[in-house]
Amino acid sequence: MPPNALGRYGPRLAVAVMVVMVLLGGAFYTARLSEGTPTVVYTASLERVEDESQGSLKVDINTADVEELDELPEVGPSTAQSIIEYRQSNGGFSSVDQLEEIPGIGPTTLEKIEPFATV
Amino acid sequence: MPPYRARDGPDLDLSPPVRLDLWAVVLSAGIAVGTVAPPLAPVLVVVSLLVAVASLLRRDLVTTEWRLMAVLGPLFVVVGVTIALVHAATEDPLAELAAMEPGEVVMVGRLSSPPVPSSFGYMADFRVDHLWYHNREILRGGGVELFAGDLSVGVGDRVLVEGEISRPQVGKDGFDYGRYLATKRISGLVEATSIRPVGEGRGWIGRIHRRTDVALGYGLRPREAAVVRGMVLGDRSLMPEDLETAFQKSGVTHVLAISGQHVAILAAVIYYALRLFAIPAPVRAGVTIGLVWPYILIAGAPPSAIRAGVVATFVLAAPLLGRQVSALHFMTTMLALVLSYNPQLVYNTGFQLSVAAVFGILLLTSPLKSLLEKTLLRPFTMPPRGLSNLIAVSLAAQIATSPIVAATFDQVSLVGVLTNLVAVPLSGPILILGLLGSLAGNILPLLAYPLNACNGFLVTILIHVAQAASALPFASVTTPGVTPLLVALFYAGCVPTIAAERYFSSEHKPLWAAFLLLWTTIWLVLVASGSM
Repeated sequence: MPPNALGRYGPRLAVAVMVVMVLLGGAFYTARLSEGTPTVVYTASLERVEDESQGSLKVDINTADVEELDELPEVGPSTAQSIIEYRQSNGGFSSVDQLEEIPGIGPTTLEKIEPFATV
Repeated sequence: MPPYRARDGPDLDLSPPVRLDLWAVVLSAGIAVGTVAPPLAPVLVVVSLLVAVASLLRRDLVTTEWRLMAVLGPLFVVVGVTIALVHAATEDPLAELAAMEPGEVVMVGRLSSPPVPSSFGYMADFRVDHLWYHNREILRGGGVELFAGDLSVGVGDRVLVEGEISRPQVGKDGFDYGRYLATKRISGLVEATSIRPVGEGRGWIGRIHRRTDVALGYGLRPREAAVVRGMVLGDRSLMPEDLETAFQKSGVTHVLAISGQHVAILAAVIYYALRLFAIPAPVRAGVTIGLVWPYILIAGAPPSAIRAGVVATFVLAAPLLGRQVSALHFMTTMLALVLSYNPQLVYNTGFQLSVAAVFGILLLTSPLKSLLEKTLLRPFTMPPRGLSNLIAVSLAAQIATSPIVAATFDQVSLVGVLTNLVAVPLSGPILILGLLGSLAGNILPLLAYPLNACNGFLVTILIHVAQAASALPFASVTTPGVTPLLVALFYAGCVPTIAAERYFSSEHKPLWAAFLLLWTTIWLVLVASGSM
């Protein structure tokens, strides 16, 4: 290579490095970070999950306590508490769709909850 | 990489050109070796380093134009191997769960492929959004292959699935089902006991598939509609088994898969239709790219279509960016791009066939065409250019894909070269009429009848050709036990013809093409007789 190689080949080297960085970054994103990559959201042995599980897949939103409501998809302790407060002040739910009136539960969350909730 | 271009005017650049064309090939080789044979990756790195050092020390070893490529070779190899390792080192908790065979799970997600008949009712690819085990959400993301007695849902439909999850097994015939599914980013199998739509339920892709089914029913018989459905949507779930066999034995199954041919035809029709209306080139290219990709998604985004979509995007975008159109360079760049996204595609037969066919067409058509013009078409004083091109392209694709077909399906069609002379020209009009018929059927069914009737005539010819050819005594040969080594041996035998095209006088092209045909025949005879 001639002594002034870096100057002469500089732009090509820069493009080559940029291309490989983009491909490497894309590969890392696809393999580790993208939405489609399987990710663990709860870690426990299968036996423990089984022990912790309720007999029925459905949670009765008119009788469940905070802990039971907490197991519904996308429902945390504060939302569970809001559900109980709504239940107490409105005399219970007539349908699962009524959950949409709880702050923090939108149509998307309701869609995830619906298969596991009952009245 | 920026191509060398001499500029006009006083600042004429007379410096020798620099070529980095092989970067994508070298990087893809790194990914392929890192995926298929990781222990060989260090060997590849060392070889590339030796070449780089030698090219620096011995200036006569590599020509000036290729010296930078030789020096940068190790960079591309290392990055390729690293990409393969990044993917290989990624944990797959869904596969781990499937391996434990924990019993019933509940999942919410979307179907990502059309349901097709299987030994257990129907099967389809399923992208998991949420997975619950005993009422506890434990996983998000990933994919499973769904098996169900009845799958009355379509691509893109959001469903809740209850069923038993398990790990895919290696079949008695040695077929590694798990590896095949991994090429589609699928980690396990679920035998569903219940499937029901949730939320908005029906996805737009599924709606399009269902509407297409209805639209193709206007004026087409079920068998013909099944063929058009396969060609338009890549959905062969309604194809009768006898017809599938006939297409396979006659070597024209590829027209039913959404391949580069489909994407190229669609892109060309859209592009030239827009040109008829004097739409400016940048808008034409943008609209074509903007329509081709949704079509690929609707067709289930098979690897062959993604490959073709990437190349079509390069071809359409190149003039806008002031780049030269180089089919071979675009193909290798596509390979690097797609393999970086999913290295497991090296094991995907559809992807292998698609890549082999295009490389075959790009590298072998010219010598085969010159052989045809010197022999078969010699009686013609002015051989029709279209005919010689068609035969040469068909032959090149057939030769290039033969070893993969032989290794995967244990059967190679011998009549394929002839049947494709009819099937390939017919597939373009059938695809376009099918798309127009589907559109018209959704707007006004009356409009669909004449389009579908014309298409019915073309499809009938295609079906008759496939059935007649498959019934011939030597329509196909069985090729049991073809190993990857034999496949590699075949391609090694093709190298002299490809090299001759570039390095020897054009007068010798027919001779090397004849050698290629002889080599293909010998290879097929030896593997069919079990001598290799």
